[in-house]
Amino acid sequence: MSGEMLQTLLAGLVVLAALVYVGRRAWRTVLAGRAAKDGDGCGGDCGCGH
Amino acid sequence: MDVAGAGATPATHAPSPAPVRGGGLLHVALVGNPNTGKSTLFNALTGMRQRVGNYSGVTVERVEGRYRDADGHPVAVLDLPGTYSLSASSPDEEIALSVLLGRARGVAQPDVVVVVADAQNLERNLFLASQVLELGLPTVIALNQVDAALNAGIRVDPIELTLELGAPVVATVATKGEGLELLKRAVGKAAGLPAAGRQFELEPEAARAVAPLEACLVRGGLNPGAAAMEALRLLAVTQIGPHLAHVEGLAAAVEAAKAEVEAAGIPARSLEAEARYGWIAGVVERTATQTHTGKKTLTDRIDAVALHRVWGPLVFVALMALVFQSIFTWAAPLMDRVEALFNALGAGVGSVLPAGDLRSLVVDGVIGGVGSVLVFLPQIVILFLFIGILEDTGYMARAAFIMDRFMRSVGLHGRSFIPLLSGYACAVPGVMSTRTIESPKDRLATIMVLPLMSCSARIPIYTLLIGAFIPPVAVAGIFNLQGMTLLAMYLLGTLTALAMAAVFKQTLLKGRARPMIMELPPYRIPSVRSLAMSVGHRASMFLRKAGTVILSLTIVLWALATYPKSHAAPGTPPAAAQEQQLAHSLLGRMGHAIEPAVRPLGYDWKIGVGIVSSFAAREVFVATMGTIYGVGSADETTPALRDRLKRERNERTGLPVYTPLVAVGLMVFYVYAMMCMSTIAVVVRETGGGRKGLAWAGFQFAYMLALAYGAAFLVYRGGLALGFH
Repeated sequence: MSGEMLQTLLAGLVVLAALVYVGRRAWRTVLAGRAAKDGDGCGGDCGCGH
Repeated sequence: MDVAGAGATPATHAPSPAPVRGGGLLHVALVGNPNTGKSTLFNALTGMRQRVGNYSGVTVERVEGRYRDADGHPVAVLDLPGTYSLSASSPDEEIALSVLLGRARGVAQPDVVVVVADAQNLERNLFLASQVLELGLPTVIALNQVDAALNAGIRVDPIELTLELGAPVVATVATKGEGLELLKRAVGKAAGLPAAGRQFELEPEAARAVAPLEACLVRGGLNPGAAAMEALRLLAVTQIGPHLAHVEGLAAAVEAAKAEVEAAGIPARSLEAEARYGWIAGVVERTATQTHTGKKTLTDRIDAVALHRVWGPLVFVALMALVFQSIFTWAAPLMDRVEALFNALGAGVGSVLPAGDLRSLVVDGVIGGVGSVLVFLPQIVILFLFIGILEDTGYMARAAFIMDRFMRSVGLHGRSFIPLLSGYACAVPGVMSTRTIESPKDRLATIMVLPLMSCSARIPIYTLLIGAFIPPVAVAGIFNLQGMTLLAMYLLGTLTALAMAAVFKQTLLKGRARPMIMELPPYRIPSVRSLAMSVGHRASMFLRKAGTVILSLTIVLWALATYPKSHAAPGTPPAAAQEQQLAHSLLGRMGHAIEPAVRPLGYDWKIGVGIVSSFAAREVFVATMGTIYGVGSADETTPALRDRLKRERNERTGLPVYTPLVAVGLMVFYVYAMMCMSTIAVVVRETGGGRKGLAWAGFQFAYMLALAYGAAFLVYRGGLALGFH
């Protein structure tokens, strides 16, 4: 495998991991919208400080 | 002052009975009026970093922390929202009451209640304490801020107060950690002591009239003490409250009791207030002394200017101008250093890794994208440092007082100011803090306009565009145009929020304006620790967001901007080949599809893509620009993003893409657009959840987008017509 192909493969894996993370975050945000009123709201890592 | 000994109480000298502990864990609830130092006490007890502020309404959720007592037993402490009474007329008061009655879902009824009372305002604080004492729960009174009370000439005797209330009273100064050990001991011992109960008696006619109501509540599962408290409370309120919905025949019993009390010539609505305050007046007289100095305090002298009808608003605007100017002047050197650091990092990684996709991902995607957001960390730190200083000194409460006039003029409740103020940091806690607003219509109107307040996520966008396109020329000798432009963006958001609130209050959410009663705390020197905690917390949240959401989205955007690859014809200059590759990529195709929608605003497809990607979070706009210009650049060095924006030319016309007019229009777009998934999720939940919540959040998103597009269009087209470019 050439160095360039290896780089493309590694970059693809990183992109896949990022896609999984973004998808998980989006799903959690949808769930937070459905959660009970006394919950935390943003899930704690939206950057709001809560 | 050493208060450790001042609160020696009978309870602390009593033999230590076996505490009542569920599973070895003692559950303690902290309740108290707003701004009594409750959250400071909570932090001091648990070592946590719950947000505190020198104004009311900072805590709107219940927050839990733990500590170990002197014997090593674990104690769970629940910090409940600040409340003046247990009247359950707003969502936060309802939370406090349902927890204390053991009716909150997923929360154990506390074994001990600690009522945090401000020694400077004993009379008002004892109203809540007298209600809590009747609930049948072991109670300890933390008499807080005794140092400030002494400075104001008020001396409260904790031992006398203990005898009057029938519950241990411990003097504390939470900010200095004084009295905490004694408080912990009193809490441990109170768990095994009988509850204090009601310490006063009703008039015989009133007692006879409410007796059937009390019996009804007891049949509904309340203990006699709690039933007696609830019976008095129910005479004064119009709604029974969801925590008593299970009690059969309650509405009829309440009406019967009200009728009988009125028939006895006693106003039912004021019976509780008169009975409690009548008793409290005697308690205060016997336990507290006040030395009237007759002199104006420093707070009085400052307030003579800060709250002046004319000078007050001027001082407020001048302070805000100073804050926004400092964001530019103080942050600039720090920002340059962070920028240089990322440039060096990009160059370093670029020289180590051979050419290829991974290098492009790291240099153009991660460092170019996330790095372009992280350079704004100094601005974020400076803004929150100022907000922290204004909060901790007590000036924010004065700002609320000054703003109340404007709030009422648009039909909003004065209590809406604190949530709107929180919106400057982030709309998510702001929306949650609307729980302190009693009227559902006022609450909804506040939620609907709150995201118009410029949050910290907009700072990277504002400062990037202002830094690049607004010259740093002096204004009125002392201010500069960059700071004034930033102030203008904040004012635009605030004034539009007030105008939209007026529209909502006149149409969808009609209702009368209610006056605000707000306590103005004395001015204090801000605590360096508290400021460092608050700023550090915000900075770490910003870094965390950059390292998670923004990083992931940047990587995805890099992939969209990189694939599929195009093959340039031999002899094509590198810059043109890169531009061709970007246009051929998925992101380029998406951008060109979006372009017709954003062209009327003066934007090219790259700005369009930035706007679409920032629907997840506003800062992603800057990261997207960093990534697009990184991928689309043949430049081996990584110049600052603002320089790249200045150099960018329209591929069709050859004219600069970014002009001061486009930059101002883009900033105006971001003042109004609702670009935050977290805020949308919280709005759905706080407006009722389900379809109802989705409908309100959808309406909010749509009206804000329409406002953003319309205003950006007007700015750009109007500016062109007036000869600006």
